[in-house]
Amino acid sequence: MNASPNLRHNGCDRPVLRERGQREVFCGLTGIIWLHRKIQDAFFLVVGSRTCAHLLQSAAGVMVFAEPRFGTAIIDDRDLAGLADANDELDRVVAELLERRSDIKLLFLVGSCPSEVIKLDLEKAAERLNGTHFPGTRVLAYSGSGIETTFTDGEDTCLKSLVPTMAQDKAGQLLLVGALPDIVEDQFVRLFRALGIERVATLPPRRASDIPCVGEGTRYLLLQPFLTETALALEARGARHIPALFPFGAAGSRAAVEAVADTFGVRRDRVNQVIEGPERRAREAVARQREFLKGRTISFLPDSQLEPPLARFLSEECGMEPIEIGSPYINQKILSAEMERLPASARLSEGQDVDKQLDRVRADRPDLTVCGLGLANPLEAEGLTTKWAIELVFSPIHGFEQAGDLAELFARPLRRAERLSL
Amino acid sequence: MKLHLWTYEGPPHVGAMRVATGMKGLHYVLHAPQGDTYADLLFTMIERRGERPPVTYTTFQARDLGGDTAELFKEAAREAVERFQPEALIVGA
Repeated sequence: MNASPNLRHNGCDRPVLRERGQREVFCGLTGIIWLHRKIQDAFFLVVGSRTCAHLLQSAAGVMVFAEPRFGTAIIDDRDLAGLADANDELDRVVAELLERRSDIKLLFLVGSCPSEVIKLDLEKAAERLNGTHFPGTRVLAYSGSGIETTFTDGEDTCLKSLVPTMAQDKAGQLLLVGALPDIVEDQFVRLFRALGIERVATLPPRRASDIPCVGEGTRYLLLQPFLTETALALEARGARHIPALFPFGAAGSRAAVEAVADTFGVRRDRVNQVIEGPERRAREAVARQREFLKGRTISFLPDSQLEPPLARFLSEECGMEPIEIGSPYINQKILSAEMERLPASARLSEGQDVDKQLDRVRADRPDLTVCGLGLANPLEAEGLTTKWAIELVFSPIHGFEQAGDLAELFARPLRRAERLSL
Repeated sequence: MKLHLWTYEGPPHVGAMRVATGMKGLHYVLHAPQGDTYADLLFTMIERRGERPPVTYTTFQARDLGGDTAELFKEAAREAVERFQPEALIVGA
């Protein structure tokens, strides 16, 4: 088996406007909000500042649990002045936490801007803490710092930290990679099992005890486009990537299923038989929204790296016209099948200089602007209709059964704006 | 080092943002890493203001830390003055 092509390669096959300046995006810490719900016996301990704690509170403030599964070890003046050894302090905080919370089986030490700047080595700390707390609790470290990660990159660095803990097993298996809502993940697992693929595993696991195996027989499908580093770590363990469209919409879902089927030698007539019902439902549900969405223009401001595959779905299946497709980072290798199918008229941009980008939005005046929460209401006040980009990360949007809902997410703000203007 | 599970207490620069949003003709240039723009949503979403807070962030990244971040800051300040033409500028880190 040939090694997969270098997944980090960012060869530019079509022009991309690259910008540097103020970025109106979250840092990787924000991934904790969906990751802590996905891995049900994990705790995410940010080693950071009051700002990090406030970000998590502001972004996740609607959810107050009696026993939250994330928190912040706030580095204070004593740590910074070198009066207290930050490592000793961290060991103390972790010991106190684990003593009180025996339900925590997996503890992530999450690096932040301050921990990076003071060069607190959290990987070394995790190793040391495993000496004390493993096997009761496994301790891992990853970075969610804004100086290194943008929003969904935080899931990438988290999943990458799990890869070394995966047991080696060279047996054939399909590994689905990316944190999806359980119900959507179950749909994919059922569908692939119906194709006759016996071993289907998922990363991340729902519990620390269910970390999947990996090895030369592993073929993995990326369910999210932002998992660059995780993919590289899996390749290093012998796993091989299944290049495919991302499973958004009927066509994207079919393409992803077909790519897996081809890899596992499943005949096309069996594929057609298994997906006939779901595909028909997806097409019908999308068709209902297409009537309303077709011909409308849309611009994406950079947020989650989901922008290129979503723009492909909206242009191909919903008849929308993307004007600008902005993304924090465009991995043209992972997205190669997507890039070919984006309309030639769409402007691709990577990175951000927010004021210049807003100038372009004002000049383009798209029917719909997909943007972050810091920009949505100000743009609405300027008469532009907006969609909150973060909803695309939190809502179930993958696969056949969600295709109609995905299209509707874009139709809803347009319908509301029309009703308000009547 | 102290463990915080829930905290409603914001960092001081959010207080400075509150001052900046409460005045006219003032602009705030904040030397901050990517992600600190989350604070904008306290004003645009929670307060539902129809305009962005008058704040420019330098958005420094790991690769900037090896070089001269002072230059990055000066450039952000110059561009902010040119674009927003404030009567007064406050700076923070």
